[in-house]
Amino acid sequence: MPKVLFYFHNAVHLPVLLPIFHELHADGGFEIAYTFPAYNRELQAGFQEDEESELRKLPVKQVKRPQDWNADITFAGDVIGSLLHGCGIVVNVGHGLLSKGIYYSNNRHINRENLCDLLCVPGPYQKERMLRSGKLFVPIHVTGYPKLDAIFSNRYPPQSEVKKLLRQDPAQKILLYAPTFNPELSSIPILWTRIRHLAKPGRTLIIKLHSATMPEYKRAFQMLAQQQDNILYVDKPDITPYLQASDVMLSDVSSAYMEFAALDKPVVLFYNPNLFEYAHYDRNDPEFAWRDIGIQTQTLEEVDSAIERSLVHPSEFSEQRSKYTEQLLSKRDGNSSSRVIEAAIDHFASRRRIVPVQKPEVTILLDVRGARIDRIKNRTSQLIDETGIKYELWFLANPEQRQQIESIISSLDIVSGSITLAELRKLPQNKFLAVLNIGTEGADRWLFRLLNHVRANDQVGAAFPLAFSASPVQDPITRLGVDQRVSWSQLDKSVRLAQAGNHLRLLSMPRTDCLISGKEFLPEVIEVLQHRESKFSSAFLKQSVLALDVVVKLPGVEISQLQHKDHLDDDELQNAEMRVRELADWIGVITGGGNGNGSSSSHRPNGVYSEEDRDQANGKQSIESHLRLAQHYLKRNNFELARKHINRAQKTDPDNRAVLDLENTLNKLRKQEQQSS
Amino acid sequence: MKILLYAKRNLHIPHLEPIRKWFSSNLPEIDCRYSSPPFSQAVDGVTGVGLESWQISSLQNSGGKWLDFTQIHQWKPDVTVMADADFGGIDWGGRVVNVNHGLISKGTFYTKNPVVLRERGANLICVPGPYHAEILRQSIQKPIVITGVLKFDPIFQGVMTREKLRQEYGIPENERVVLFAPTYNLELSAVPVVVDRIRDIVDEKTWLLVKLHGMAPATWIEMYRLLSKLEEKIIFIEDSDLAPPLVASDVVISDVSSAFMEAVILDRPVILVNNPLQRSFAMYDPSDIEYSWREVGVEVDSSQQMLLAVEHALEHPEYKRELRNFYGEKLAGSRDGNAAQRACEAILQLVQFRSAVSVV
Repeated sequence: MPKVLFYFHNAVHLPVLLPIFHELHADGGFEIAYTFPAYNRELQAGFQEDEESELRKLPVKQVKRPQDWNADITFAGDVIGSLLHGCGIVVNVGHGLLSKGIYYSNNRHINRENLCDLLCVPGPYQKERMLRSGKLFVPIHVTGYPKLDAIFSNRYPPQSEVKKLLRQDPAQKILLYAPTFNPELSSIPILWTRIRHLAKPGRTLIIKLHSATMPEYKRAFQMLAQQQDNILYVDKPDITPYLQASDVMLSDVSSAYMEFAALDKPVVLFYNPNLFEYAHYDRNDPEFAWRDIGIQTQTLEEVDSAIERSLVHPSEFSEQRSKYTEQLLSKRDGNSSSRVIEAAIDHFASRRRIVPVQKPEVTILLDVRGARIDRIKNRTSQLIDETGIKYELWFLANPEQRQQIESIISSLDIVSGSITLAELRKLPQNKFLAVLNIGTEGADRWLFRLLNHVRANDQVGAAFPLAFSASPVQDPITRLGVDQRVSWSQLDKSVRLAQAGNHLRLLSMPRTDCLISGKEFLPEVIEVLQHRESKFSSAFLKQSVLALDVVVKLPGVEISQLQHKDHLDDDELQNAEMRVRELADWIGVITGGGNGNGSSSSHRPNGVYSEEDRDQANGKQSIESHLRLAQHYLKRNNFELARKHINRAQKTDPDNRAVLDLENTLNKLRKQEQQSS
Repeated sequence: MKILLYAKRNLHIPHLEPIRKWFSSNLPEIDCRYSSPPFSQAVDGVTGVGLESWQISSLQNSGGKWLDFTQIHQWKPDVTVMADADFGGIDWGGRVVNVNHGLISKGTFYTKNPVVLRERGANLICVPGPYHAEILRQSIQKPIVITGVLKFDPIFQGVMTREKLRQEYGIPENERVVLFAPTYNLELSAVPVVVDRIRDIVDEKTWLLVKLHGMAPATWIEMYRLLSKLEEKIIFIEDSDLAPPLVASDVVISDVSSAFMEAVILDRPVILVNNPLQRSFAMYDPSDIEYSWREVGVEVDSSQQMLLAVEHALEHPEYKRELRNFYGEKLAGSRDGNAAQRACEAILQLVQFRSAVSVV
């Protein structure tokens, strides 16, 4: 039975994921579990105690870490693919119709979406915006919005019944106040608790704040509800019942108002004059561009009038509501959850991978030199699933392997040919070249994710994965999702660094047996592969990235027993030389060591040092060390040596204040000594 | 009185043995025994613990008495002397003394990093020099005694001499000796920088001693062992004690290993290889002395530069001598060969008066 995991990052995701969960659970054909992180307010992760109660009701197993379930499919409501390595196919269903410039927008964060396997979006608008960025390479399905399935499928009680459930008179008009939380955008800082004036006789005011609203605001509105009978404060994560129950909504830029509009109910929108301060403000985003979906207001008085108007003429903006919500939320038949599940299963069953292009963009050069034939065959087959991209595969082989390799090439149609080191310049040029060692292993479409760094960013010419063998070079904290000892907070810190839109510069000379390069650096990569003493240029290094979100295991080196023999015969001596070379290549590759090429060129290539060389090599420290020594000798009343070092310091920097002070001290002490003697 | 010398790793032995020898010579009535945790091999990335059986035999052959780990609770030592601040598992009672085993620490011992607070597990801390005492005093309120470098006592007493050691190694007195003593961390070590090019140092009058850290990866050990079989004048030092090859050498090549500070104390010119990954080391702190005191040696970034620097250092050993003296004093205080005596007297004071007096 396929294993499915639901990852609830925080309470906001519950209303979107739970409908999918219930549908899948009802199916009975899946093993389901759920997980959620520990509460961390700063990271907007996890649940507070009262919020967890919803999750505790789920009739399935909870696992502590996502990776514990070994899921085939994982559903999530956000771009947190990096936390879900090793969790099968990750399906991101999002958690809102709008995004305030963060999700369905062409910005530097959009590349994070590639960390999932499949994106499900509510409407054609979101899909089109994401595709238009040119930075998304995962399939995007328009499924509709699972959160509203119950309402659209009429499984939800009608409005009058819901009002009764909320202990409201069905004749009472209900105003739902659902503001966002960002101070620049929200109506809260301006309307504040004056909102109570909207709770007039005949009206009930329901206040439903975003879970990320500041606690101080929440407390203030809670108190308001305690003071007035016709004000209700809702602290449950799901707004759906209140959408159904309410007659009019007051909001600002919250996704909630689009959900309300999708039910063809009137919205009143408050305008915060600070919205231009918002970091992700884009006037073309629907929250700002489609304000004619309801009545725009700027003062409490205007809000009051707008509400009255909406209650009297609820269908006034119906046409606009229909026009906009059609784009954001196309399928309103109550079957969005089913469509999400279908897309996920389809993806899982067919194991289709990504890159919606016909021609392979990537040439993979797989280094099989010295490898056994059965190993080459197995590895080639594994690459298909492991890498997650379409490619043209070439073997880098030794001339003597040619004949054997021909047999593999003819039996596997994915292999285009074999080539030797000397012939590398004849390699067909696609848009990208991936050089891999046959022993390199990765997971979770690692080559696809490595390729994303180069594809999605014009400034990046080459990408290298975080690589380790039995002895990792990099700190374990940065090995995302691989190290079992990594805690959630450490993982999140790493996620922030390694999100596909962010990358770190290379720290040193990169490996040449696992990389992806753009076409423009192809000649340089070939040069370095062909000539061991060659190094990558500084231009190449400047445009290279070390992809912290891509971890691979490099082939290890077996230890030989030759080292334990007391005496080596001639053959063994020869083997020992080769073995030393092999080990030196293996050990030195992380730094480019052994070839005599260092970053400093301050020393002559032959001959001994001159005074100048010495001073230059230790230049910046020479004045400090002279000063230190001068002080040291002054303390011991060794004036002659102190003078020597003061003179040397003066020679380097005659106007140095510290030197002049020391000289004064020396003169003073000398005088004192002379006087006393 | 019962004193337990608890060697968590073999590299602690050279720091504990002087203590045993001093008690044995001066207060033989004190029951002094060695012990260690059950042995487990170091695996790449994971530190090993304990002593191998041949190391235990070697201790016993030198006169040390052995106590099995399982019997410690029953034996009930008055004092447990360790050469590390890793006090995990020390639950058999009595006082605990840390005599340390290095001069620098790569951000884990003599540092302002919070990890130094684990020193609080000891009742008495013995440090080599004034520098270490000053650093620890900023964070730790336990008694701290400056003893000097324990394992150098035989050197400063004239027991371990250059001539004697060269003879043991089979090196003619008039030939030059270079010691390569790198650390084991991939990001800090000289090994990935110079790899096998270290062999270029060897010529008709120059020998190379290679002494790897006890936690060096197996691949490094193999490479240098094989080199020693390929080159007559390369000697791979198997023993855990750095002091003998240090004394035998004229010049030392290292990186951030405490070996270079030991070389400074013994007034050996040092060549310091910089690993380009240095700053990516998890505990990297540029204010630690292994980075801030590098002026005491000649820094190089490649094997080619290393060769030039070694040649120069062999020809001009007086270069940077003043700085070596300056820093040597900070590191090792008094170099009179009585470090063990000072440590043992502090231990006795601890037992007699249930506390020791800080000498800072």
